Order: sequence, then structure tokens, then C-alpha cells
Amino acid sequence: MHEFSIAEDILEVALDEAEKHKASRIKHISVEVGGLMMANLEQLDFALRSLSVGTLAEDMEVDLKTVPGRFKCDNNHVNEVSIEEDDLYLALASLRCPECGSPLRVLSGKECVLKRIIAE
Amino acid sequence: MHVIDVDRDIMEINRRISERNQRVLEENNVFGFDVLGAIGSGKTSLIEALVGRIGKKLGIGAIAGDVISDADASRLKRCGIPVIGLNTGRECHLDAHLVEHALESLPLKDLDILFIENVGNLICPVDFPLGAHRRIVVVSVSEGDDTVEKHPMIFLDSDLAVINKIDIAEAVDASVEKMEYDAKRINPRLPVIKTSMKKGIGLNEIVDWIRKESNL
Ligand SMILES: Nc1nc2c(ncn2[C@@H]2O[C@H](COP(=O)(O)OP(=O)(O)OP(=O)(O)O)[C@@H](O)[C@H]2O)c(=O)[nH]1
Ligand SMILES: [Mg+2]
Ligand SMILES: [Zn+2]
Repeated sequence: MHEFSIAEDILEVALDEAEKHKASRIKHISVEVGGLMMANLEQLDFALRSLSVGTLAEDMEVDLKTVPGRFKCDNNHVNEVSIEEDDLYLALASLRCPECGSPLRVLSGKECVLKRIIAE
Repeated sequence: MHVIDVDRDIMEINRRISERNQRVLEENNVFGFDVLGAIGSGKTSLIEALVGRIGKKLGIGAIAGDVISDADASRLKRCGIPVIGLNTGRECHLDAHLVEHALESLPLKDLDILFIENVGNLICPVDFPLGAHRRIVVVSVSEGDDTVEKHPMIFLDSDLAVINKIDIAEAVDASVEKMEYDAKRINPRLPVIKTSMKKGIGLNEIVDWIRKESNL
């Protein structure tokens, strides 16, 4: 359950930005969650909503979306792997390069990017 | 209305502090090992056993993460090494910021090796690097022999896997071979060492690995 600590950080950065722009309210935030993060989007959404109560971001719209993880194999083939959350762990357990069958290393997919804020 | 394109990776906050922690360790010639793993798998026992084997020759220190108590920190202090206990409260993992403060309180100048025992959890700590140089994941047969395949991410991201409590594998009907096979399937580069901390099996191998990785 580290969705709360991630949500805390997202909110802190968002509120900071809103303040810098002298906004009085955050209406919307969009966040891209790397597909290999051990975070559950519904819980993250819930955490963001709970933590924003009483702040400029209360009742904001939250747009969360996953971006696929990227892997590189021993022969330097780069693969994007988009896996449904439910299957992620099973799929990872036997993941091989689709081109050559060699094992993969993670290139990206462990980011959680606060893309955009709409404030007023 | 403002549209603010922030485009900032939130995980970067922790990552940057972890890199700073690693620099602090390096400035003091300390080599750091994360010890992660399931609850009760034998993380503290591993550190105790290693202190017993190499603690006379090398300066060892530890940071022990616990949700609320200081039980592990006290156990490790009893081995005669400097230990900082960290309580994570409601959090399920240590983060680099907590570790940064612990580093300030440790006699780093006297240390060669630092072990950072994370909270027992095979999922959350994976996303939060702390600054150690290598990651050891400890699982045991008592979690069931499907525990490795159920947590692939931590095995992808570790440098050594320890499968502990092999002395009771039969009693809990677990196949150590399956666990090892799963770990290798997930990450073919990962060395796997099968141990019994209780019987002292496999510890020499771990000591060899530690010395090789840390050059000590
Ligand atoms: N049979 C057997 N028991 C072991 C072995 N290693 C550890 N134990 C026991 O397992 C229990 C948990 O060991 P710890 O070293 O405290 O495990 P831990 O991973 O640090 O536990 P937490 O920090 O609470 O998550 C203790 O009662 C140990 O004595 C082993 O190889 N065999
Ligand atoms: Mg422990
Ligand atoms: Zn390939």
C-alpha cells in the first residue's frame, strides 16, 4: 500500500505549482503511471481524493493512465510491453524478448509523471 | 485558467535522495546492501549470521526498518554493531529520506559495510531505492513455494536471492527447487543461494558473494 505516499508526493508538487501560478483552485490533474510500478490505480485515485480534502485540489478531476513498460533484451532489442494489471505479475515471471527469446531488463515503466494541472 | 505542463516524475524525488545517500556511503568508503523480503523470512537472522562471520574483520553497521517496534534494531544491537532503527508507521517500506537521516547518525567512518533491512514486504520496497549498492531479497519456504513466481518484480530488481529455511522445506511441503527455478526463470542473471540460518547452511556462499561484490 504505497499509493498513499505516492499520492502525497503528487499532491505536494501539484499544490506547489498551483501556488507558483497564484491559482486558487486545482480543477484537474493528469498523471501517467509506469506500467511496472507496484501501484494500483484505483487506490492511487482514492488516495489522491482523500488527501486533497481541505486543499486547493479538493474535488479536482483526476485523470490517471498507465503507460507500457519498456524492456531491452541481451541482444539490444527494445520492446514495449503493455500488460493488463491483473496479468502483469504472471507475465513478468516468464517474460522473454519476442524477437529472440532472450531475457529482458527493465528500461522504463517505473515512473509516475505528473503531466499537467488545470487550475484557476 | 492556467494549464500547467508540469511533466515531473514523482518517483524522481526518492531516486535523487537515494543517489545522494549512495554518494555519502561512497565518500565514507562504505558498501551498502539492501536486505528485502517477506515478513519473517529471515532478514534479521541473515544480518546476525553475517556479523558473526565477518564482523571481526570488517566494520559492519545496520539500519533496521520496522513498522512500529524497535525489535529488530535491538536484536542487531545485541550483535555489537551500530544500528539505527527506523519506524515507518503506516508505510509499508523505507524511503530514501528516512535512510538519509539514519546515515547522519551512524559512525560511517568506522564502517565498511552497511546493511539496510527493509520492512517485511515483497511489493512496496521495490519502487523505492534507498541508496545501497546491491539488493538482497530473502524469501523462505514457509511462505509457500509459489512466493517467488507471485512476486517477479523484486527478483528482476535484486542482485542476490536467498531462499531460507530449507531445513523445514519438507515439513511445510515446499519445493526449494521450484523456488530456485522460478527465480532463475524470472531473472536468469540472479545468483540464488539456498540457506538455513538455523543450521548455518549456505552462509559461506553468501559471505563469498558479499566479499566479491564489495571488494572487501
Ligand atoms: N527453521 C528455521 N527458522 C528460521 C531460519 N531463519 C530464521 N528462522 C526463524 O524465523 C523467524 C523469523 O526470522 P527473522 O530473522 O526475524 O526474520 P525477518 O525477515 O527479519 O522478520 P521481520 O523483520 O519480522 O519481517 C525467527 O523465529 C527465526 O528464528 C531457518 O533457516 N530455519
Ligand atoms: Mg527482521
Ligand atoms: Zn531480443
